Amino acid sequence: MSKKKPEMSSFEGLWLGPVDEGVYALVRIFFSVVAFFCLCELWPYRAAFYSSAGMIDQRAAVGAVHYFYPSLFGIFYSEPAVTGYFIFSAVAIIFLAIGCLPRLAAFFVFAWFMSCSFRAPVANSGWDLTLRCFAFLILVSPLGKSWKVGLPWPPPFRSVPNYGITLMRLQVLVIYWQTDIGRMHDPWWKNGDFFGYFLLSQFSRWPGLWVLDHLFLMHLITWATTGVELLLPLLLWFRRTRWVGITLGCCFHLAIIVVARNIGLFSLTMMMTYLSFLRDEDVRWVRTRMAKNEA
Amino acid sequence: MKSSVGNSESPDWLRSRPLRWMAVVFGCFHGSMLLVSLAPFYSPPHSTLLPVLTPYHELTGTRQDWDMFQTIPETFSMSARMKMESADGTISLVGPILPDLETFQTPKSIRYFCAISRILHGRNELNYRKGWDRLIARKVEDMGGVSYEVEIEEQLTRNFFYIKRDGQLTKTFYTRFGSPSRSPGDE
Repeated sequence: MSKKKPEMSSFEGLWLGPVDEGVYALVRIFFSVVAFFCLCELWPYRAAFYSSAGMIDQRAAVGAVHYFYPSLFGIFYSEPAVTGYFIFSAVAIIFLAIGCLPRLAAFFVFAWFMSCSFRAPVANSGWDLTLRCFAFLILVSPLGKSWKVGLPWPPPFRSVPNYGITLMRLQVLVIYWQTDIGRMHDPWWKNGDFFGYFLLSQFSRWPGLWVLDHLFLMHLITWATTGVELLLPLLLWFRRTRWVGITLGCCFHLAIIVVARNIGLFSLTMMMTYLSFLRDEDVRWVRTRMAKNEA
Repeated sequence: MKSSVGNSESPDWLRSRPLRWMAVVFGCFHGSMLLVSLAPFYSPPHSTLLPVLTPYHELTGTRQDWDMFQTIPETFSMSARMKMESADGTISLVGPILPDLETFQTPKSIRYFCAISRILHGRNELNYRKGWDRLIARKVEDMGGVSYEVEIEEQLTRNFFYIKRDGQLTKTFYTRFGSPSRSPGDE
């Protein structure tokens, strides 16, 4: 007797449509890798930003929130306690990466990002906030039963609902578009001077007067940046163009790594978010490659 | 348009109606909270939803405030130093980075750069500035100091028009704060 396949409208499909749990797993694993880099990057600053002996007054941080101060650095405020909490969070990130108690690990990783960003908002970077948003989305997403260390490899195909993936995609769209909308009234973005000033700032890898000799190129790059950021979410969203989007986005962020110093983690974080645009067939390809390597 | 749920080995989640509803309701709610942030802050959709948005964003850490490079980065370089005077009149040159009054490192310390820039020039960061000042004062006292002065030197990029005219890339600005009574070395 054949079983009737359940059907759903395209609206329901947006949230409940089946997706290979490998897509979630790839996001989870690469998110954990970038989160671990982020923790390592913050490690030298842990006493300065998160301990009571540091330079950021906890009372000011508490006063900056409206309803609820969710930072565990309110409890772990001494220097050894901050160090201990960092080590605990590093273990949670590793557990999340290998899929060991993933839901609990995701909760602790989310709690760590919340704690850091609310304790020292003035020290936050764009990648901290992106990772914090993704930590929440991973926490509420289906984490699947395979793609864990110790289970048969390559993992079998298993479908789960795609509401988490849809939200991750929306999150990426909002990051790019809100950034662009915010720049709409900025004179330096409109007249194209932004990139020139960027290359003269402390973010630049090669600051110097040479920038002034290439102002037309600077204008073109400024406007191209806006165009790429507007276009990327659309290219990523549609099945047919997703690889164009992923390639364009990776080139864009790799170019940022080349011309800018100190903000490489932002590029890595954004490239990680592109994994949420993968489709079942992409995961199938990964699985086949794994099976071949295993053989 | 209808789509079928094929090739699914264990679609248990499809059989539980409450779970399906929860996923749809949560997806729609969180998705709306994301998309509404694309509307300008004082627009009707944003201001109407604000009583829900703010607590939800604080609870879930999903506040959407993506203002990366919304205007030109003006700082070419930054350095920060601090003079501390001990009870015996000795003046030592240290740094304002707590907990150990370390010196400010450039160009590696992007975190310190961001934090100090926002503490000095942020829109609502006066409390952080006062807090930092208070914490430095306490540390100085613990170390037997009687007064201190923090000096932050910022090289700000000048407008292209002026750079082209005289070739000078930056202009220097100082921000100083410290003990209210007197600064080290004052007679």
